[in-house]
Amino acid sequence: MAGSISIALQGLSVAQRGFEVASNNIANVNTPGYSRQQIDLSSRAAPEQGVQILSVGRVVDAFATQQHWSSSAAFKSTESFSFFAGQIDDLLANPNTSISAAVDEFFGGLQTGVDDPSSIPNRELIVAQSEALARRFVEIDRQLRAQNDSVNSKLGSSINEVNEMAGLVASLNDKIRLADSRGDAANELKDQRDQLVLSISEQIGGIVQTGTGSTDINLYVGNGQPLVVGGNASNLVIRQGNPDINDVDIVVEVNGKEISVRDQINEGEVGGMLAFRDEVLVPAWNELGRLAIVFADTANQQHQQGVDLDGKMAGNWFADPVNVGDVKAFSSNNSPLSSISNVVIRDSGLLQSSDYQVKFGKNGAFAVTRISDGEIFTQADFAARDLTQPATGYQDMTIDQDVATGQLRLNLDGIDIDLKTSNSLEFSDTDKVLIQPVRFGAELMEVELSSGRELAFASPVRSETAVDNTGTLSTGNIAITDPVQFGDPGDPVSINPPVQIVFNSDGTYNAFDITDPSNPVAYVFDDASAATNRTYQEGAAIAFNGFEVVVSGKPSPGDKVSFTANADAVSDNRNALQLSDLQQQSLVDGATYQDNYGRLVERIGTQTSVSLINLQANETIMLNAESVRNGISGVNLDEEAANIINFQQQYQAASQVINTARNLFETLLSAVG
Amino acid sequence: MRVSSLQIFNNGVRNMQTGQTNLARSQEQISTGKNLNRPSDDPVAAAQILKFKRELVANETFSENISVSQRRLELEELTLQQIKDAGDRLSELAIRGSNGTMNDQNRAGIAAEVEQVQQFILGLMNTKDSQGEYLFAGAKGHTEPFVANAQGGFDYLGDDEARLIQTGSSSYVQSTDSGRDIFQVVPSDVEVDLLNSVLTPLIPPVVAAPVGFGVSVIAATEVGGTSEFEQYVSANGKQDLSLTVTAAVGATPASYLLADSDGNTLSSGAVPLPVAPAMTSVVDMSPPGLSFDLGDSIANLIDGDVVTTTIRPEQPRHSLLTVAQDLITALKTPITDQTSRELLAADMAKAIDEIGAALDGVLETQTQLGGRLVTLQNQESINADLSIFTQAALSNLEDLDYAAAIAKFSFQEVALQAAQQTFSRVNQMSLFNFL
Repeated sequence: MAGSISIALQGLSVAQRGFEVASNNIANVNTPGYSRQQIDLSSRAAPEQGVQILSVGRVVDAFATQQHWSSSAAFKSTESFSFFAGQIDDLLANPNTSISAAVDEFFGGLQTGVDDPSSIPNRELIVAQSEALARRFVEIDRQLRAQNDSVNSKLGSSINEVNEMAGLVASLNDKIRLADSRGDAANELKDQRDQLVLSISEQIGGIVQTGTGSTDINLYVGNGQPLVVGGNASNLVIRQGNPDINDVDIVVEVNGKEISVRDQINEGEVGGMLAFRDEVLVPAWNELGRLAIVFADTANQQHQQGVDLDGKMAGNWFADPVNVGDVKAFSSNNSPLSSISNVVIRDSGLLQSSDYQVKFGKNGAFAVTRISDGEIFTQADFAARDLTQPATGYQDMTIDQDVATGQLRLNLDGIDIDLKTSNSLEFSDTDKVLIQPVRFGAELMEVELSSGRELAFASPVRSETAVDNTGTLSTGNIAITDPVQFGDPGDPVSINPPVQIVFNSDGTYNAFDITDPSNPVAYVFDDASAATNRTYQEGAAIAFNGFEVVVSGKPSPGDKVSFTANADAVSDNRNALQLSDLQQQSLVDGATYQDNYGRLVERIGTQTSVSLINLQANETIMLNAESVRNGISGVNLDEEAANIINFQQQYQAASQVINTARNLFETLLSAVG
Repeated sequence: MRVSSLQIFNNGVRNMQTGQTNLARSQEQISTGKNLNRPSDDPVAAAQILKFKRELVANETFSENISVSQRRLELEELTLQQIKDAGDRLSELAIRGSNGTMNDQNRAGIAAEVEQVQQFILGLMNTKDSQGEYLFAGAKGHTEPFVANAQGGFDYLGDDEARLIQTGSSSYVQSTDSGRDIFQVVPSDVEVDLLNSVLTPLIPPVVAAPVGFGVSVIAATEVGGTSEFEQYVSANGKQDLSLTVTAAVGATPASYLLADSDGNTLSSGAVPLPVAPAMTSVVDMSPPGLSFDLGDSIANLIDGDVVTTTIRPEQPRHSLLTVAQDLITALKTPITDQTSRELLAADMAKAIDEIGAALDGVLETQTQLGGRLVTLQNQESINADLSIFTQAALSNLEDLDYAAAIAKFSFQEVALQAAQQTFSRVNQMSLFNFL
């Protein structure tokens, strides 16, 4: 009988404990990361018999938890990627900020100049439109920079959070190990730790190692650099990019050594932000810079072929963009890079929207990586530069290298890279140089013209068919091949020299230099071709010094056409027409300015929409993983209510057992008494 | 499957959020009327939209260009019509002037009217447009194109450029005509220019041609006022001729040789000694009907000196203004005898011919103007069609189908309401309610 009572007592205490566990579960129904607890019972064997509480444990499934962590890392990565990409997406296509709309306004304004080239108000309007366009480029560049800054600062705060949490995980590892040795399940500590690991995964992803012979959770970032091992946490440090100060580097300090993990973090918010920066922001920035450079350069080139309202040869319309590129040495280099190393844009038509990295090897070997597509060029890809040609000329895919004195000049993709060591010694093995030819193009775009009078709408060449020609000769388009022959910018337009062609009876023609109209002499062609009896081909261009002209029609013997300096030509709009034609020309990577911009918009739109689709997919995966985890570990109130009823019944039953035992005992006593 | 309470709660909240996000998106579309609000909604369409918008803006610019050109061409047309009317008046006056019953005084009166008409025409030819540019100066818009010269004629100081204006993506229309093309169309007498005249003395160096050296066209003697040289030029073209004069060497007398550009000799012979006191000698070369004069420096030539020159025939053109000036001069010349009477008749006939030629030039331009104005109108309607087409395409890509959008909105509203109701119902259910 006494046995029954003691067994019933055990039942009572189990019910009480069970009741406690259920109420704890109910209390934590909304606690993040809480895993429901269960009381683990077993029956006692004879002779004692009864029930005993083995433990109060968490209901967790290690696999489901891991799945939750990793899917959260992937989800957070796409979430931050699409958040930032969406902002650029909005920025580029918004009619108030779009480059394309500004280009439309610019060329629309230019048309008023074509219509009325001598109108000063029109000219001032066009200068103002060009300033608006330049400002638009600068403004978008500023917004991209702001995005870059906000990514950088957000990376900083993420990394700080991770460091803090990693420290907590390490100390929890210690506490749990201690509790474990005491036989304490430490359920709450483990829940806390799991929750921290989830937060770290959401920030940087990484590898989580659990339960291999110990209670510790170890965390690794990147390619296995330890973040938390047992009770030790390493520190992640965020550093200014090397050498690009707009970039950031993330290093982990292991045993006093710093290992960069920047390129290895591709999950979590940090991974998403880095991917956004590398795949969206920087390419867009370079693309915009290239567009600004090509626009300014092509507009300048055409503008320089014209004559302004005061009859002077024109200069640049926009600030000359050829020197906007930048060359930066890595801080790890052994050889000092001379400050005269530079990159110059020589042929904007070949420009690529990319940064480049030159990496030196032994004995003058080097590799140039075009970062946008990863294409690598080595010494063997370049021919030797023809040094007899002008030093400032562009020779595609050539090098001029002097290994011993550390000089390397490269021409590729329209840029001219000139690298020198400042000590005139060979470049050291593994030295690296970052070249950014187009990154700052949009930032540095500005209008150089100060007044509308300086706009060059006229052509420097006046063509005139003699008034007494009896044939049907006419002159067509005049192309300026070398504007310098008409005077330096700012000089009154001149021609080198005025030329007249006179047709002979056999249909050939002679070219005369008519500097002194009453004393014509043979014209000296730059290409040294003969000045007399030149073959006339109807509709073909004739190349004179500095310009080419299409002459068509049938000449009669003695018919003349003369080409002179186009002074006082205030109403000439030929160069303005050429300028406005730039809008239709494929000048940027085989596309017009605006088509190129359209491609950029399309590409970023695609990246954003793909990231939104990925976001949905990853969210579904994450939610599923969370459901699985919560399905196992979450608290269900109905279940707890049922448990309470269950334990209540157990308690009542056990109490009844004791009561019955007491009655039995009393019955026995009264029978005896 | 086991479900935790928090999960039920979270799922409910999430479903409502999704519903609200969808609603907000539909609302944005409905309130902006745009199907696409950012490129990522449809990246390919976004690039197309940029392209279509660009086309619309360009079309607008072209239409603006067309109306600018139309205004300018209409002004030109109007001006030319007035010039033509004034030219007709000149013709009438010339006919009246040739009337034999008129006396000198009557003709002076006519001359005065011609002068007025001439000034009127001059004003018209120097018309400025609204921008202050001379309409007929070619590219030299700030240079007054027609100016009287010291010889009693008028010079054209503009140039020969016509301005093109873009009226479509690849179509251009000429929006100005140079005064030279319209007005400088009346052929003058053939003249000769001497080029590269040099004297090569027996003892170098080469020096400039002798003072007074010159070549001239022998004046018209033939019927119709066409000189022998003019006939030569119209038959052979305005090719350069070369003239070589060699001073006497010993017993050989001085001689000359005239050749065309192909080296054929046209005329040659001896050069007679200069005649005192002027010490000039005019040598006739017929054919082709030229004469040359070595001037007073012939005396300075020594044996074997050679004078060479290139003779370039030229036939300048003049305008109605010069025609009028000649008319005034002829009308003001008093008639004294039969010769002067015949001369007047000839001058009047010539003036009437030349006025006709000048007005032909104007008429030709007027015809072209008409053609250009029609082209502009056609282009305008092409541009308008293109705009409508582009707008339709743009609207297809960009604009919202309201019926579909509102239907979607209502459906999303229902879905959200359902989510809200199920949320509250599910959360009311609890075993604790029954304890």
